[in-house]
Amino acid sequence: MSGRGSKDLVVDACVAARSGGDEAVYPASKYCRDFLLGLKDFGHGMVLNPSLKQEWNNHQSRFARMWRASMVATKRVRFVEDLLIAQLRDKIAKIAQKEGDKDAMLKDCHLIEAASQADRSVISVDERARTLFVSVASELHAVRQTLWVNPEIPGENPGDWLRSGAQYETERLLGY
Amino acid sequence: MTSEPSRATVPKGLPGDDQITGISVSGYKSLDSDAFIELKPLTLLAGANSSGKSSMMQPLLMMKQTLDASFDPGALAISGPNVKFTSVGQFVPRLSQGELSRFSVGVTFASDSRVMLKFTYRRNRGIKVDSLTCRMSDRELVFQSGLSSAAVRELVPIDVAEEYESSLDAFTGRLKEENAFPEWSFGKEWTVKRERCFLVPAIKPIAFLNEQPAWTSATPRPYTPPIVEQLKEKVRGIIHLPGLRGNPERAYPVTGIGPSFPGVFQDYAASVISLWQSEKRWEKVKSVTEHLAALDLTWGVRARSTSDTQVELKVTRSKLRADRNWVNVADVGLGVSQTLPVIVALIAAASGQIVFIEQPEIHLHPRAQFALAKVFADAVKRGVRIIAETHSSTLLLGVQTLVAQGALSASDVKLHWFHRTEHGNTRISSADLSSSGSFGDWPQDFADVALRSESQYLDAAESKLLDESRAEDAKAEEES
Repeated sequence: MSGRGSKDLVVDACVAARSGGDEAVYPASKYCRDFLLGLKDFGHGMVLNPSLKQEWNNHQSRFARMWRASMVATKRVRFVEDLLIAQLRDKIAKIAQKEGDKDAMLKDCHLIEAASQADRSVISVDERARTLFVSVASELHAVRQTLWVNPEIPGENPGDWLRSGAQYETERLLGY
Repeated sequence: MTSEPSRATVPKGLPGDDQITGISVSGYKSLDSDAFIELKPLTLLAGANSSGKSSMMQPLLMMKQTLDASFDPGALAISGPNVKFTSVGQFVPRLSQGELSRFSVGVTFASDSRVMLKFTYRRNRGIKVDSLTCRMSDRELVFQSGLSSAAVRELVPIDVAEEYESSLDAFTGRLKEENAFPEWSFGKEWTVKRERCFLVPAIKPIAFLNEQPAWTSATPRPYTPPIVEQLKEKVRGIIHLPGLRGNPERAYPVTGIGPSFPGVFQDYAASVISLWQSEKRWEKVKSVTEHLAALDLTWGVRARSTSDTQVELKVTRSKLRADRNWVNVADVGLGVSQTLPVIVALIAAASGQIVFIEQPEIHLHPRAQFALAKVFADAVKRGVRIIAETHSSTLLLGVQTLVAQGALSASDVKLHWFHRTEHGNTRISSADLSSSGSFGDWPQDFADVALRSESQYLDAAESKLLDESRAEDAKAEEES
């Protein structure tokens, strides 16, 4: 479990996949690795629930597996139960413009749900999902209040954000 | 005719069940202030090179070689099979002439009793035992030279003092009866005597002539307090496997086998197996074979006396029983000859006996390093107490995995991480494992080294691949 002044973050399995192996594309892969190392170095933790764990098991690179093992060994992984917020999923189904958008959001909805059990922060490289969530954020409180960081975009200064305590910064919220 | 190794006694367990649960060292090499490590059934010492891991155990090993010596080597044998120094200045601070240096070693038992030995060193005058302190729940005894006879007697249990005194009185009484020395009168004196590396109370007769001391015994009768006796047995019982376990030999010298193994254990491994074979203790031999097989090292081992003084070790090269090809241990990889003594030691050790292994992982493939954790766990289940000094994150991961699987109790494991300050002094960070095998904020860095190495390799390799890809694209564009 992360200590005082640190945060428990939901790290999407896509970050684990793109940190090495077949799905790695340089330099994006390096950004993902640096982010994971920074997350550990600056004392933050990760949140895992059974669904996320399964996704990590299916997609993680060798590097991500080593990183995860070191996070578990140093008690930096917070295990929570799968949480399904039916109200959130119903609303997404209702307000999604297209069937594809609905499916994409429901596929990644578990990230928002897991984040709601921790420090409401999601780390993901899935820009399509972010764009879709931003489009519905004004109507969905849980989405609006979720912070989203893409470690592959240097402009978001993900390293600095981690270093300064992974603060709950308003401008990083999906509802900003 | 060939001879089998002799066996003095069956190693059924060392006297007393009061286990050593902690070691403290001070003033020794980089261990400047009171360095303490708690011992559990499996204690792992880790840390960078020259961080002080070996130094923590060396004072106890020097005590072992002092007690094991066939002659009295003085207060501390600084050069022997377990630890080799040529001068005291190599492990205590350098001194100018006449200056006094002190170092100490303390041992804590499960009962919370404690024995502390303080040594002093003066250049060109050697090491002396300065004091021995026994701290029990109800009292503290300090043995040091210079105490009066009455003060020493106070340190001896009254019934023991009376028994020793009456025995001495009987002796001097006989001398009087026999009128051997009619002009002498007899008295007695309690004193503190050095017994190898310990100080203990002792009683001696004194003869007076014209009220002046005329004669005294050069060999006072010592009384060793039970706690000191216990420490002696525990220290002598340490089975030591150093980091350098020698080159594999075509034949090993026949050794005697007892509950304790003076010197280093690798010299005994062949004779121990030979003894088990001759006594038809096949479960022990089978256990060695199974552990070696689990490490993927060999699938059969046997010892054979080649002469009255030598035993050779043979191992198999094939997994298949029908295809067993027995070869001398010197003809297979170093992993076998380096690991075999570790496995034999762990199986030969009695419950409660300490096995100290430096670098158990040497010459082992990472898969075998991981599997070695199971060998340790099996020994721990039999009550063996293991102290292992390691650089293997894979072995540590194996231990963590067994704990998470429930095959090894988290409360049986203790981790100590050694590191040095910028001034070169050792600091120790200790950690327990949780039931999931995690160790929290223990500052171990070797897993981090692997992680960062992986990251650096990927950075370099992927960058290179990208450059190559771009170069190919540019070439293709040029051609088109």
